[in-house]
Amino acid sequence: MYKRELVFTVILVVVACGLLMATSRQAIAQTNQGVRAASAATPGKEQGKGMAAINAAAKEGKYLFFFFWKEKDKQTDAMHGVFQSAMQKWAKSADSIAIQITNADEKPVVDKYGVSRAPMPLVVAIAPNGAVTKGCPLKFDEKKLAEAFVSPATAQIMKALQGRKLVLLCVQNQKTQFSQDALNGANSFKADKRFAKSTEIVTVDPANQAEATLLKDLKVDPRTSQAVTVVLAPSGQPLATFAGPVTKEQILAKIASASSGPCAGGKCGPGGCGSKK
Amino acid sequence: MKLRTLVWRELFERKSQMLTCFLAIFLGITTVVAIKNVTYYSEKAVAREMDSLGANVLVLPKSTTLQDYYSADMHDETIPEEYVMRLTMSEIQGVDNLSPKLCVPVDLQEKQFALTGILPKSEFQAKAAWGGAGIFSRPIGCGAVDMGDEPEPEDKRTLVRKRVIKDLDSHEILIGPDVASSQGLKEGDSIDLLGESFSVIAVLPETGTVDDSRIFAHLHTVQRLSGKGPVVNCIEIVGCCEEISAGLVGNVNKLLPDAKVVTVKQVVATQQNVNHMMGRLSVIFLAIIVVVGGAGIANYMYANVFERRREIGTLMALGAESGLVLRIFLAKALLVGLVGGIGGFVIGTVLAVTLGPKLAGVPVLPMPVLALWAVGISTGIALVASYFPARRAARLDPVATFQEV
Repeated sequence: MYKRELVFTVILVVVACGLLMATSRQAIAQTNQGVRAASAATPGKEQGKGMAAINAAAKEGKYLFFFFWKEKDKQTDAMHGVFQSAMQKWAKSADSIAIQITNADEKPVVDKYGVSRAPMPLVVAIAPNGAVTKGCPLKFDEKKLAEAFVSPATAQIMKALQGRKLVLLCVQNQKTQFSQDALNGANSFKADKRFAKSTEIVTVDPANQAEATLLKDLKVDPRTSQAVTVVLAPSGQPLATFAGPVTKEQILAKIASASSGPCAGGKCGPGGCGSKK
Repeated sequence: MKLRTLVWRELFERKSQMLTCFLAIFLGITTVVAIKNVTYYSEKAVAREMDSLGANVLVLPKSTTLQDYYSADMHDETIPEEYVMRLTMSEIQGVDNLSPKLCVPVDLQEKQFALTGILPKSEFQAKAAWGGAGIFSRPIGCGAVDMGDEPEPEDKRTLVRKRVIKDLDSHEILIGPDVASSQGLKEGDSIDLLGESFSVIAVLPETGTVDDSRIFAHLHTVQRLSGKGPVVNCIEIVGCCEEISAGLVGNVNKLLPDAKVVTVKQVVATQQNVNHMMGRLSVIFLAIIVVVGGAGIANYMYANVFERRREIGTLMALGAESGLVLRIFLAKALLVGLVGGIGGFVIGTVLAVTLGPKLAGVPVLPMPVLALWAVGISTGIALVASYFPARRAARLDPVATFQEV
């Protein structure tokens, strides 16, 4: 009788400890929104909570912030605090979830973003369209995390660039001159079978206030009277800007000169691109 | 009597003195030509090396002592692979490309080669675009434009120049020419390494460096097979030159305080210092030729004119004009300078070509342009040093010289 009680007590203690560990792990692994996001979509066991959270956030048109971590330490705790505080503020526009990268269930999401050998903790922000809009390793603050929120066109461009595509950004509306000519030039470039698969055309209205930052970064005047076409190469390098009409040949010429420039490959030897003394 | 005969006889009048002057010029020119020749090819080799490397900054474990750029990853010290991602995701400007390396020795048919793990660009380049708002306003790269998924398949042999390739599967390898020739391997062949089978996707062109005896495989495969975990021996960075001048190395140091960051310029600094020292040495030798050779010739000529003033007076009394006397002495100096210059160039070049590769470790070829330089310097010195004694001889009064008899 005494033995049975002892066994029962041991089992009870083991179960209690297990529950306690699971709860503490969950505390770091799921923020308020993350819990919601993860539970909103019932994850398939092969997918993991991370992959399910991506689908749920995309469905709701929300950003998703991953907090990837490896082991519980001071740095992880401190950054998780920053992360949680920011996420509470942005609950309406973003979901969040914490993922321990050593958790075998979360291998799909860890592999998807290739973070198994990344510095930890790491926050990765995903736009509703699936583009990674920010990666913050090791140390960050709310301001850094806020940089993840980008305009719809920026997210579209980033998605294409992360897919190793060239982007032809057409800045135009009904008021700009040569809009059709510029668009025809971009379409003609994309129609070339050499570039069809690796080119994406993104159109932006210069009057759209939401895109003002993007245009400022690309040094395009939002009051432009002519259509502007910007060529961007992975991983975000503006190669050329054309104001007014543009042809496929002009775009090709700019790309060719950019990829065969004298500094291609970073030559620093005598006669290279180093400082001339 | 013809001028040519007079000059010829004059040349062999004081043989030992003439030989001393000739030797001073000849040895000086020989030394300067040899130094200049070796220095030129040594500097050229350094420049070529730096330019062909592409990568110009190395991130190494703190305790590593660096002997040679090409074997920078051949040591037992390691740094975490996560440094690659830290660099990729950082806001440091001027990092154009990265190439982490892990090197382990492998034996193939009783010969040892270096199995080098490299990380293809496709596995980390996308993270450079995780920059968030403002990414397009930051200058990225310095000319090596990534054109996305290019229609043409990648030429893997560009690894030698670009230090990084776009894609590499876990069981694909690229081999250096020495490995290919000693193992009889060619593209498409298979080979067993550390218990697993790999297919050769490219034989790299010869570089004359340790890279020729390397086998390049995927970094993660090498890490797994060697049991070393997620570490690397070094990270090569293709940095933009302007940004290197603007403090790229300092910024990388700040980002990775536990690593040692060096530029290729620092690696080849020793060789450059030797070149500069040789350059300075050649200037010193030139000064010695001018002073010793010039003074020797001037002294020899003055003594000659003084000792032979009666003979010169007799020649002039027989009808020789001052111009002829001047020409005799200057032509003699010209001949000494010419022979000294040509001889110095020939012997200096022979010395440079034969000893250069042993001393400087670079192949040295003859430089015809140095012949002009050598002859110009030697004849110039001989003519300038002989001009005043020759003018003095030409101005001698035959009557006064006869009075001394």
